[in-house]
Amino acid sequence: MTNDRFSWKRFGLFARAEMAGQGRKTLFKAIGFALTCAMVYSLWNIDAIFHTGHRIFAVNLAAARGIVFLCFAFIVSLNLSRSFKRYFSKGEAVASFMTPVARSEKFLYAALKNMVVVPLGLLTIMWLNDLFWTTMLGRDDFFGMLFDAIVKYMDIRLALFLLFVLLKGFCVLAFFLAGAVLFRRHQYLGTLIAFFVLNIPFFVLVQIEPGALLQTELAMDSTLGLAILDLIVLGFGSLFLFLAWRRFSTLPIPQ
Amino acid sequence: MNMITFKDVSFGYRGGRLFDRLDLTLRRGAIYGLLGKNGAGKSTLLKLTAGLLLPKSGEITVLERTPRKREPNFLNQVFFVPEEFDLPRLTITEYGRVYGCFYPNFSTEQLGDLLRELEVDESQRMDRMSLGQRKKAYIAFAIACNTPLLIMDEPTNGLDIPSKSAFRRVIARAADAERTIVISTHQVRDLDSLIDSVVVLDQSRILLNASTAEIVDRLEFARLDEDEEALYAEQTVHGRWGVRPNRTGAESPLDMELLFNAAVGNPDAIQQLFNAETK
Repeated sequence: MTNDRFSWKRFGLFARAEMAGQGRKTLFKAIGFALTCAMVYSLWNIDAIFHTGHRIFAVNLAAARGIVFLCFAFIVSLNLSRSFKRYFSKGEAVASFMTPVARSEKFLYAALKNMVVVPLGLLTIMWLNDLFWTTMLGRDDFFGMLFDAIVKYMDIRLALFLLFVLLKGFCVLAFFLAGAVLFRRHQYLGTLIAFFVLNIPFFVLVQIEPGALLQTELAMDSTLGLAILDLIVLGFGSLFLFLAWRRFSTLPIPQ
Repeated sequence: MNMITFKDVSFGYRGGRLFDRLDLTLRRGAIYGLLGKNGAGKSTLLKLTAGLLLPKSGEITVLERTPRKREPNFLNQVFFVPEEFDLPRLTITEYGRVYGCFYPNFSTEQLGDLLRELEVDESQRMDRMSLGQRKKAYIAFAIACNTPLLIMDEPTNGLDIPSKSAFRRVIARAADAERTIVISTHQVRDLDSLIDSVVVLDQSRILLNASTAEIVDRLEFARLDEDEEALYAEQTVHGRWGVRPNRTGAESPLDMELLFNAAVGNPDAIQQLFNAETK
């Protein structure tokens, strides 16, 4: 570990050190999210559970999925906004900065944990919860069907569209990660306000020139258009990630 | 050989300038006491040394490296014990196992010995420890890392009297020719008989940077008569005590509090005597 740049071995040791003592806390958080999912599904499907027959099952399930997804989006974005919390905390900042690990390793750990591991973990819980409820209520497995349909109709345009959706997700996550390090305090609120402010030009553009929205939709109808949109979204995501890295690499300890 | 060099360093927090073209040199193999009033810039100086703050201009060299780069091979040569800190939900032994591996000279056996000497319960989780216990546990870990540079910001705050004595013992034992220990404090009595060099910082200036041998060579700490002139003197229940230039060459026991007050109250005379950096 004499390397001053990136070392996977050191990265692994750092990840182990950061996760040490967090096991119980993480387990409780996962159980909390699973219980929230279960509660939302059960509350929105009381008719189905007790067979009162007054409501349509599918609508209830769809509503529950929507609410759980909103919870997921809130938790993931809030968690991302706290990615560099330790570096701003009076009690933890010195130890965090002084851990003999390269800046790139510290940054990659925060990005991987909060942009990939946590969202994937929560998505897995959501999927398992959905599978449980659809099985219990005797409905079709929605996500399974969705996956089958994607496989069945997969072509270059659908692949590019799915990539577009994924890249948009990446772009939003990268934006929240950048907000986590660019704002010294109230990172979540600051990021939300920045998100709103940066979207104002698009709202204005759509009001003044509704054709712009149509042109985007038309672009999505062609393979080339979709590919270009993918590249644009990827560019924005990379820019946010780069901004986060730039700020993190020269971040001073709070006063 | 120098361990830390500040050359023309300027730094300020938002809107103000704390250090203006500061020069400072700390040598290898010494225990430095960094003394100063509250707000004099002691913690800032330590943070600049560790690369936690970035200077506006000038050059800082520590162990022949640039701290602001925060390279792993710099960070594993420096340990910083801050004044206040939170520790994870781990026992100190677990903490040593997961974080000790980043320091090439970390010794688990030494950590165990230090914990016993400082009377820290190894089985207790650190987030549940009292401030004093937590501080002693972290100091033990810091020493066991065996880094060439050990920086401590107000380490004796929160320690009881026996713990302060134990702290002085373990620090004295940890000192060697290759290791520099910088201890910042405003409780000067805690460092009596421990440090071998003193840096006095006041109003963002280095008033004094000298070894204790130089100090007792040039200054005399003595009981004074009522009308006797001194750089600084104060009335105590045991009479009037003060510090004055050592004209006889006789060695007197160093009184850190008198020295600090003399340096702050009479900076020009002190600087003239020691020919220290005047910036």
